[in-house]
Amino acid sequence: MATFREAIRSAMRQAMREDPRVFLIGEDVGHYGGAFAVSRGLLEELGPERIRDAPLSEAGFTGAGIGAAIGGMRPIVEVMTVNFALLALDQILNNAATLLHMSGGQVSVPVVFRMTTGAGKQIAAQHSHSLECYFAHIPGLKCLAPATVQDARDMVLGALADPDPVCIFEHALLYNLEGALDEEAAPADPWRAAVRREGRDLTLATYGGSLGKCLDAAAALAADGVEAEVLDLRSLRPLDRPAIAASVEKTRRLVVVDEGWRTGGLSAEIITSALESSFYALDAVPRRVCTAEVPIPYAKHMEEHALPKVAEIVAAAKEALRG
Amino acid sequence: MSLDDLGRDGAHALLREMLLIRRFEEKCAELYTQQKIRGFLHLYIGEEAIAVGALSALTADDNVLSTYREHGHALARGLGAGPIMAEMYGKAGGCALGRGGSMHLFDASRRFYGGNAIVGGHLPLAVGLALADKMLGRKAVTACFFGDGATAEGVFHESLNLAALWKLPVLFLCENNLYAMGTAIELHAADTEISRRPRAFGIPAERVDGMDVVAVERAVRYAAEAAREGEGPRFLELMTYRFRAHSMYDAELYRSKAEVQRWKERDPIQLFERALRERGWLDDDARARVENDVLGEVEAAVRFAEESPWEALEDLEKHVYVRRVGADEGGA
Amino acid sequence: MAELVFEMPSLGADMEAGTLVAWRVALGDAVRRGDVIAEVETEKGVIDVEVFADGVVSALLVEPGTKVPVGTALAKLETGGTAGSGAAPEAGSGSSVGSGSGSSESVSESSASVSESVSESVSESVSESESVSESVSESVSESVSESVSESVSESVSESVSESVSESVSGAGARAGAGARDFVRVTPAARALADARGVDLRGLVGTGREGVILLADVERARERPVEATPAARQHARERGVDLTQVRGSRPHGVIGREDVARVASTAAPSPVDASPESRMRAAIANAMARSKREIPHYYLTHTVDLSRATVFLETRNAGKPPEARVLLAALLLRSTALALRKHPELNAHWTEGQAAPRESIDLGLAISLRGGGLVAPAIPRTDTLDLDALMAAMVDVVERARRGALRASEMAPGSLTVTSLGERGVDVVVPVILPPQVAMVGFGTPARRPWVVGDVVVPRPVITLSLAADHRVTDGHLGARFLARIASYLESPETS
Ligand SMILES: Cc1ncc(C[n+]2csc(CCOP(=O)(O)OP(=O)(O)O)c2C)c(N)n1
Ligand SMILES: [Mg+2]
Repeated sequence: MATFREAIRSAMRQAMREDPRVFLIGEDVGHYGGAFAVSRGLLEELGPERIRDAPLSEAGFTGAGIGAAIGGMRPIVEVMTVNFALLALDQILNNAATLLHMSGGQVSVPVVFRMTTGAGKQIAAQHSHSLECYFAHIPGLKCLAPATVQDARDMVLGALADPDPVCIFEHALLYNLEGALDEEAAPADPWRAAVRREGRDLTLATYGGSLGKCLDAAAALAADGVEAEVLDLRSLRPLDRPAIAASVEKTRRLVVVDEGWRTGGLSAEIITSALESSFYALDAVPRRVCTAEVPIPYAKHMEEHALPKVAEIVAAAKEALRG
Repeated sequence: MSLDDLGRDGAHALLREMLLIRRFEEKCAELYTQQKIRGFLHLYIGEEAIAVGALSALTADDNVLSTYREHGHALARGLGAGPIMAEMYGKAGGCALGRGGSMHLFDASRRFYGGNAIVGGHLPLAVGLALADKMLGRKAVTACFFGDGATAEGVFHESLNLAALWKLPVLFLCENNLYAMGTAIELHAADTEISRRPRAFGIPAERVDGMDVVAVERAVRYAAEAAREGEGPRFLELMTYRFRAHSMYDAELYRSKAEVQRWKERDPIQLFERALRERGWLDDDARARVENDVLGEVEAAVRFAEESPWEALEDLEKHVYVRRVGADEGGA
Repeated sequence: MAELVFEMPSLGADMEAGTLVAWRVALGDAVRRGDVIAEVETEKGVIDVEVFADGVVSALLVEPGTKVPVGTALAKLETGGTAGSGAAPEAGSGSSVGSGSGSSESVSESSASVSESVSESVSESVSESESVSESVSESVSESVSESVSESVSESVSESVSESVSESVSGAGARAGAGARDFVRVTPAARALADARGVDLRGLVGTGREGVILLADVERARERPVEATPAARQHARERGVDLTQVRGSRPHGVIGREDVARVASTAAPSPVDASPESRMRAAIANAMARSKREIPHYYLTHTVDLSRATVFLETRNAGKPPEARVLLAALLLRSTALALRKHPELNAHWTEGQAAPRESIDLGLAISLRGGGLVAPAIPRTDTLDLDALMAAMVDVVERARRGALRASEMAPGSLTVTSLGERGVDVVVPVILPPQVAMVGFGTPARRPWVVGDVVVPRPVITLSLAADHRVTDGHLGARFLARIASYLESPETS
């Protein structure tokens, strides 16, 4: 057993031990121990060259990571939260995601961007948003969202093994999650969705921090005799569209649970994908449970109200059973 | 301004304000462990002289912007302990209706524009506010507080350049507490004397003892006067230290307890108290009165927060737009 | 002296538990507000924990090294009443803990009641739909099957049920389906209905706001209609689709009066609703669908009928006209026997695949005098000898022209045979009747030059043609099938 946080740390440690090109750069990754304590202890183990504290310069150190990747290194850039990654969005979009194509295939950027995402800790609107879809929109990037302890490790290793820029979105509420961790295992293919619970009556498609809610909802539905299949998308770009199609064609009903906002969000993409592949298999209007269209508020009752809730997922599922 | 210029009453007012911030925040820490206050809670304890000194040198027409470590500035700006505490509780009586919390205190009527938690993100806002004042012919200045860490951000440099270029009345008030979260200034700044940087933009800058409330008041007053007279922006590097963790708690792996202890010997409240006693302006009785007065205010603030209702959930989506349009109409 | 419980503090929003690393105080120690009294290990490291009151440590409740959840009592303090106003906030905070948790309870209560009411309304509506399915399953008892399907005459009823459904949608509007002028049906249900030829407009949806679900289409297909013989007769005469009629007799059995009611309340079709035009519309439907959906391939095969002609002449010699067997019967029988050997062509295309059929029930295309066409099936054609088959053909043609076909005959047969024999046509290029997957045509038998050995001789010949669904079979199989019919015709005594 290990925590999600330890699993990421374990993967980074393993990668840095095995490959001298790998290093970690970001704000407070070293002396502070990581804003979310992910890299705690690594500075002592690996030294300040490999665990590199960066000033408050998101665009600067992210761009430096990109440059180092071009120069032959395998950097892991940690951005504290996806909100702050917006300061580096220019670098990520206009450089990391673009250079390969723009150079006619000459300049590849094997960099990994790790960042925290999601709400639930009452840290209000500048620290809580789920902006995965901004990144999943960008060709040239790959996007992963681990939802289990094993995936937390496997995806770091999978991303480092990939020749392209990969963003990993770590939901802040998952860091304390405990689960089985096999540190010896060959990392699972990160680009495929995983069925976390089988069912025949409807598909709950989700990722990252919402997986737990979907599994809870599926358990509640099971008590009412409804067998929900829970599909963990894992990769947000590329989306595992065949897996979505297969599940939806089996269950004929789709509810997408996404902590991002509804309008223009990932849920829209997932549902459209299902419609394109499996329209005639659908026996219900696809539904989505998303965050209310507000900046995440501070007060607990408002924050909770704004976020997808198990009861809402159950209600959406029951609605879907009725067409 | 010297202590003499301040006079006994002026000095007592500064002491009371600093003590209010101190006691208020200690209460916050306690309430945090009881889970009344949640989220991040960045305490200002140790740095009170800056907010109190600086804001006592400004007028009601001036704009103030701060960071997520802004309880002190908000209190010194007169937002009221009650609405601030209620905000931290997430209650409807809070100064941001429970939506902002500790890091996002606002009061537009006092020209207090937050409460900003994207490090460096509010510097361009300060430039814009000052630009507006200048264009509208208002004699206001804009005071913008930020930390040493923020000086590494790109927008820091962009904002300084713009303010100097356009000769805007901005007071850049850098609270240099030697750390950006857990990263010591030696690890984040190539030149640790931050006040040399604005000079590259032609902005007059000076280092000030941020533990000395009178020195801060004096420096800010001069700087504000110059800016108000159209001489362009001014920059102050206020040397200080935070006595507590970056946010509510951290393991403080990045600094030694001895270092913290050394700085605590320069506690701005104690320093000032000592100066007043030396001058014969403060005795035990007076000190106890101030203490009780301040504790009473903190208590009242807690009561206010406790008694304040929760914002109704139906109102969750309020204040997302001033006016909803099109198919969105009908909302708040 | 008051007692204060010192609890494992919450040192971060994500902290759920902490490990007590060490006590910095001992039993009996006096502590002051702000003193560090313990060290607690969290995910972020060891944190000094302070106390918020003055007092004397009266109990240490947790051993160092123990991990406990936030809120667990760690120690007890005796607090004196001497701390003056400084102690007041403590007392206040004690009570405020209570009131605070009270208010947070009320928050969670209200959210609980929200979710309750949601689940209530959900379960209510679920049980509603349960009762619907119950009543449906009750009515599923007898297996007298009235087909609602794709044969020409079936779709004849389409236009009627269209008008029936108008009144149904009126009810739907009351139920909240709204003033939508389209049928609300899920894509899956629509796809199945399409494949099975179920008329969606007549179905009652059990989904929310009356949406037709996949299960509704499946049920419509399965639901056997229980009706009195008189009701069936009347329904046939009036072209009413019995599956769309609600029975008022006990157990939902449809009586003649139910049919009459539907037939009379059916709003007149916007176009001419005469039986002829209805049939025309139905043919149009079926044929358009066939041409739209079925990738036809066509083969022809010309056969020498000399032996068959002789065979029939011999057989019919000395018999009264009504006992004679005509060439048509021989053609049909040859086809039925050949189909036995090629069961691939005896199938229906449903839900995207070919469903094999058990029995061989050849459809017979019959043109009606008033115009139009029906294709009743002759049950178990292959088991009938020539005389029985002849009799069956005569009977079905006669009844078809009278409009007295049985419902079971209107179910789509194996494949349909068409003969434009009397019309002088050389070759028929058939259009398959969905959901069948093949159709056989016979041209006009005629004497033609025929090469026998090295000489050309006049011979009676006929051209067989096959249209088959390329999704199901290929030309090779079709050719063998035609060759087999030909071989039966060439040696009729063996067939
Ligand atoms: C753009 C951005 N990056 C990172 C953070 C996380 N963060 C919050 S405070 C802080 C340190 C800021 O240090 P400094 O500017 O010196 O202010 P201090 O906290 O010392 O007052 C960091 C890294 C943030 N809020 N915004
Ligand atoms: Mg700092």
